[in-house]
Amino acid sequence: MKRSLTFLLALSMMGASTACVRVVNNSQDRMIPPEIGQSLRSGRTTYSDVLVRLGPPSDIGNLAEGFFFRYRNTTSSGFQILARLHILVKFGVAFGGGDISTLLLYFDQDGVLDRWILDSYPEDLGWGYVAGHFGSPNPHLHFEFIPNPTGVHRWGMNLLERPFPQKQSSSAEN
Amino acid sequence: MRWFITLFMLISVCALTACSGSGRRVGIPNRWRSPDIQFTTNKTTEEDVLRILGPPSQIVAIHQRTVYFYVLEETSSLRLGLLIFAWSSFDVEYDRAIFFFDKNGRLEKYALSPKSLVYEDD
Repeated sequence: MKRSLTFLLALSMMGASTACVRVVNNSQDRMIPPEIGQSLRSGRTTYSDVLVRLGPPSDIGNLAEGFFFRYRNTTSSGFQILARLHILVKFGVAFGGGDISTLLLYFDQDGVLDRWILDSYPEDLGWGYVAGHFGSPNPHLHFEFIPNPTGVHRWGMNLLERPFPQKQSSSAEN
Repeated sequence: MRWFITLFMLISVCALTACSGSGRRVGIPNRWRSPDIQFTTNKTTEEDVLRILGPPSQIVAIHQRTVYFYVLEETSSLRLGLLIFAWSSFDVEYDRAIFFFDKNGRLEKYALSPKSLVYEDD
């Protein structure tokens, strides 16, 4: 009887003191085939050719001298590990990353490809750790530190600083 | 007593394990996937498409062309929670149809997403 009680007590302690691992995966829209660039020819490829190869775009818009197609794909994943002793303390770390791929195609009024750009932005979602009093509703007993915040703000700034793609650059790649 | 402990452990493990999934659809029903519907270039008109598929998600006018853009979005998520390990995924997929009409309202070109969502006849 004493042995069984000890076993149950040990089991309860194990249940109360746990370490959790959490993995998260997100994706939005289909992948853009990286080799698509080899089949795009400025001045020759038509919007019809692009539709046959890739299907409808994520976005379409009107321009002063033509129109554009935009294909977009987003993936992200995260990992989190949390150790906790219920009602007492918890400690955990988390980090994640992602990738944003965009293919932008500009067509003239006749629907012929004028210029295009394919780019991928590896997105650092940052990492951080948490420590706190697990059961307390008091936020002062819960600390979160994010030494490396998500790079999305830096990405926005970089995007604004980036030079607009020139027609020659896409033509030169062909 | 041994069977009691075994039962207790089994119940504990089961109670601390969970699995869930969810999904939702937003947008225009993908009738363009119906095997009964066919679109023919230079023959199908804007009125035909509107009658069959209903109002589009987006209309764009581009230099003597009119574009009808139909979008159906499907979100699916799956979560698995074990005793000390949890996994989840969240996916968003689209089924799109795009129709280009010339200035006379005749179908010039159309395209469907390479990967279709399951067609649900409404």
